[in-house]
Amino acid sequence: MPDQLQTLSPELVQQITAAQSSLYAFILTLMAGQEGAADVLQETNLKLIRELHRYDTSRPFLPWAMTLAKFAVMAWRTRQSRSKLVLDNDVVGLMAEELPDSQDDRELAALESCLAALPARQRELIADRYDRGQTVRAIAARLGQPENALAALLYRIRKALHDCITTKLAQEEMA
Amino acid sequence: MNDQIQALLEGAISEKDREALNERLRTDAAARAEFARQMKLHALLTWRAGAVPVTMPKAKPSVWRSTWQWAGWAAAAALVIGFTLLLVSPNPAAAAVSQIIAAWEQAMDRTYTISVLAGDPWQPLRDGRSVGYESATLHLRGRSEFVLIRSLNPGGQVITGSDGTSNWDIRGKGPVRVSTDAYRFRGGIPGEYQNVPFLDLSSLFATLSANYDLTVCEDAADPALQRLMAKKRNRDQRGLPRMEFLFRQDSGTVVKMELYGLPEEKGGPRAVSLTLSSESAFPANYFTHHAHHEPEREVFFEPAQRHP
Repeated sequence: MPDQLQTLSPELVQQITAAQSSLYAFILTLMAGQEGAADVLQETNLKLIRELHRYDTSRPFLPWAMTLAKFAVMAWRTRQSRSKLVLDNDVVGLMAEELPDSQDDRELAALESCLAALPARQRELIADRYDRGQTVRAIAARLGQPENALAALLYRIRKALHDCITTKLAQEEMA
Repeated sequence: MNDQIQALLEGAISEKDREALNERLRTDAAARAEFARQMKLHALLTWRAGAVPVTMPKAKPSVWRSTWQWAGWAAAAALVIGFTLLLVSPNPAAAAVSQIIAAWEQAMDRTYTISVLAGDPWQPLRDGRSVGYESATLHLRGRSEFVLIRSLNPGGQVITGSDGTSNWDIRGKGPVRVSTDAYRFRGGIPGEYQNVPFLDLSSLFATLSANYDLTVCEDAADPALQRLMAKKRNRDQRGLPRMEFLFRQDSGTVVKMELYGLPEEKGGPRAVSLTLSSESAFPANYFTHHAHHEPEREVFFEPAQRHP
């Protein structure tokens, strides 16, 4: 292992670091949002380090890293009881094949500016749900709003954020 | 399908909905794309909120306690990544971040002493009194427990803290106020509202590279120390404009943090430093409010807060 570590290039180290959020998103999607995605990301990172000597540096890093992440998710699935899994095996396989490559940490930067452009109330709702970790039910109860209406609003906000990020990244590509 | 995804994200999907979701995803490519889109946004928002530990073996205490194999894997991952970055990366900022995260996650009880670098050391309170930041102390344990002790003018102390379950605040000889609102009473911690979560510094660093330019250099005064400087790229983004972290080269322990550009609206300091002054352990109950007032003090439990 030490010999392998010594051969790591600074570019690879940066690529691993920059890929973290994208790998997490990939893993969380294949796990359908179930708990444990952070642990699977840890395991993926370990695999990445161990297998880096096999990586062909002439090819894009993220697709290769996602392949290892997929194996880590599959290993996680074998450790779960079948009744606790949300997605079926064949669906996970389809999803893994079709998920597009991400944009590394540029997506996070775009998300930041897209969040800043949201109306204050929507930003606060996102902060309640994610920064403060509150459930939709708890937020709805606190605000005195129907839970399904709040869930629908969150859906619209997330969709708007996705569209905003897509637009920003496309603009960056063209610039 | 949106209802099913929403139920999924809230951890409350029924078996019937689960089966229906699988069938839809199995047969409809557009549905798979939509599912992926929604999950990805959810993941990015979760990641951005700092709720995802990256290289820290203690991030999942229940797993840590219950499964030694998992603990070993997590620890190995943290060590491998941390040391890899340290040993081979000519990118010293990435190495510094990794090292600081690892050290912060391993840290036990510690105390930081606050000094005011710019602005007014005293911040006015609504009741006419003011609270002082010079020589204030911030005691930390783990990722959720803290005690912040500040001076009160004209006399006494403001003691604010959290035992990880509830936050509490004691002003002078007044009643103890207790709240289960995760953000209640945290405004006193410098930078807390500017996305500088001392209790969860790992999360801060995990996302720091997205918004800040990071550079690292040796400390001019002490060769055993290094200085990590973080400067925000875009002023429209959340967070302080500039932060600096002085850390031990050998261990990654943060011995001093400097925060610049604290908000001026409410008065008080505009820049502060927090210097590691002790790593002594506190009593088990130190982070509960009971350890900071006499038993007969009135305790007021606040109702859940309504956010604007």
